[in-house]
Amino acid sequence: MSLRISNVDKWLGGVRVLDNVSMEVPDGGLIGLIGPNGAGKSTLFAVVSGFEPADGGEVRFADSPLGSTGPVARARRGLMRTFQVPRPFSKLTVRENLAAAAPGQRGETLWGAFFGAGAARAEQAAIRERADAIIDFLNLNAVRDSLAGQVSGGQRKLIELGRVLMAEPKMILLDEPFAGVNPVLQEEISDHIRTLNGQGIGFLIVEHNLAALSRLVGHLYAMDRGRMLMDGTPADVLADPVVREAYTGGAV
Amino acid sequence: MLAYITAVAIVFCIYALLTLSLNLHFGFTGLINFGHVGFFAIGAYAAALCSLNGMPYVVGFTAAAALAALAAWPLGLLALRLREDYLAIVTLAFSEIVRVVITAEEWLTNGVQGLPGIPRPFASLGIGGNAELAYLALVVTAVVLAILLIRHLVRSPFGRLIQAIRDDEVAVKALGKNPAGVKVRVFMIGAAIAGIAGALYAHYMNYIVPDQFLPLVTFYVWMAMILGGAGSISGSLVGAGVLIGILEGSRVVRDLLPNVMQVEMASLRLALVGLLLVLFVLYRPNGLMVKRDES
Repeated sequence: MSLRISNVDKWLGGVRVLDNVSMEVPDGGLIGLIGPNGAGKSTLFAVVSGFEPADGGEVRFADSPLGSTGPVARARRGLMRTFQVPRPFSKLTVRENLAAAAPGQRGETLWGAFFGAGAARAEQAAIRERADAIIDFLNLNAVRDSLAGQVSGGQRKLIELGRVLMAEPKMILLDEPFAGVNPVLQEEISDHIRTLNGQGIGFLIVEHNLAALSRLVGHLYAMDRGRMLMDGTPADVLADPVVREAYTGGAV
Repeated sequence: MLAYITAVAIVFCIYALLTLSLNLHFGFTGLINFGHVGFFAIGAYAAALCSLNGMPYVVGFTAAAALAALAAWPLGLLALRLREDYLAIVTLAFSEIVRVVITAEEWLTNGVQGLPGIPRPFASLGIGGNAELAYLALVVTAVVLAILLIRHLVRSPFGRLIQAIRDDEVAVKALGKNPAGVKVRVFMIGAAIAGIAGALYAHYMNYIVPDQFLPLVTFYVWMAMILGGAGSISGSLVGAGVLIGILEGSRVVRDLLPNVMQVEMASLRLALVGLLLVLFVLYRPNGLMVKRDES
């Protein structure tokens, strides 16, 4: 399922934070998006995931326009996101965090909570099994029963990824997966992303760590001040004088 | 003495019901409800009016729960789509509207004069002082049922979802789940429990007036919940116990302070409650029954 962003505009308080932005993530693609602070990357994520309405242009997912649908509807179609600052359910355990993300649970309705005890139990057992498999995959076993508010920053990033995986995504918008994460864990997260991408999940990754991102993705987009500057292979994009100037403000 | 203990225990149970239901709203779901007394008042008047019009108790209690939940429904739909601080303002206004309407609609509620002569279950059985104990048993049963209901709810996947909403609503939306409908349901369930508490209160007091339903009651319930610990069921009981202890204990204190008059004592009591709240926020911000966060 491909994601196509066409001529998207967004105004915030008189400033054009997204200016005619277009990009595409093909079905099962692994794409990076870079740009200095204030380039509009996070706003683009907010618009694409439905948390902020666009003021112009169009976002299409799996060849159908998303229109003005909200974040819940978009996530249900399989277009999911993580957040730059992780948002764990801090008073639930890591395992509960993942279990809460499983879609379409009968036990989450009032009726199911009261009258569908048997069916809900079987359903929950299956969900726990899936959650444990993902916890295992993400190496979170040591903190499985800890409160999510009490684990390290890097582990919170993994919890977010794990939650999204529980929700059966088709494409994931990853907001700075390496920020505040030690190099060893960065490599681990990269490996997870490669594995998941191999299973057909598409990724669009915003990241400031250009070295780690270049090793991970085959195609990069670069933004600055609300505009898309260029796209191409990581080597080409990072060598481009316009992109270099955006990052250094012309100092180099 | 037994009569006094019974009376205090009944009032404790009624406050425990209010604290438990507020805890379902705030402690487990994060709904800032500053108008809990509104649901309490609706329950009290619904049950009183049913009884005074010759309907059986069952009808009165059912009406109390149903009408309180029904009042919560549009309130929830309106406010739960807004930011959470709006819910606080809307509910506070709602509870005052309820009180003003009760005061104004004299044809139905007898206005400021209140409703006298509300019958109490078991009182007409001719068992004397045992009628009080029987009523206490009824009230305790209600508390036990409320505990079982809330415990079952919060331990179910539904309960996991409401706690996820409390911790981070944006993240819940990002996972493709809609918090609004869930919050409205929780709001209605908590309101229904408060309505039952109101019905039990009306039948116990025999006489209700609008002034018994001031925002101060909501404040007391919030205090009990904070003292016991938001998000803790046992904390609701402990908190309600501490609250009743203070409210009743301050009577004893007055007897020891000969120069303090009744009116002054009422103010002193509030000051004491306030002081205790400040101390708790400083030294036990999570309440008596919730462990301190390590982080």
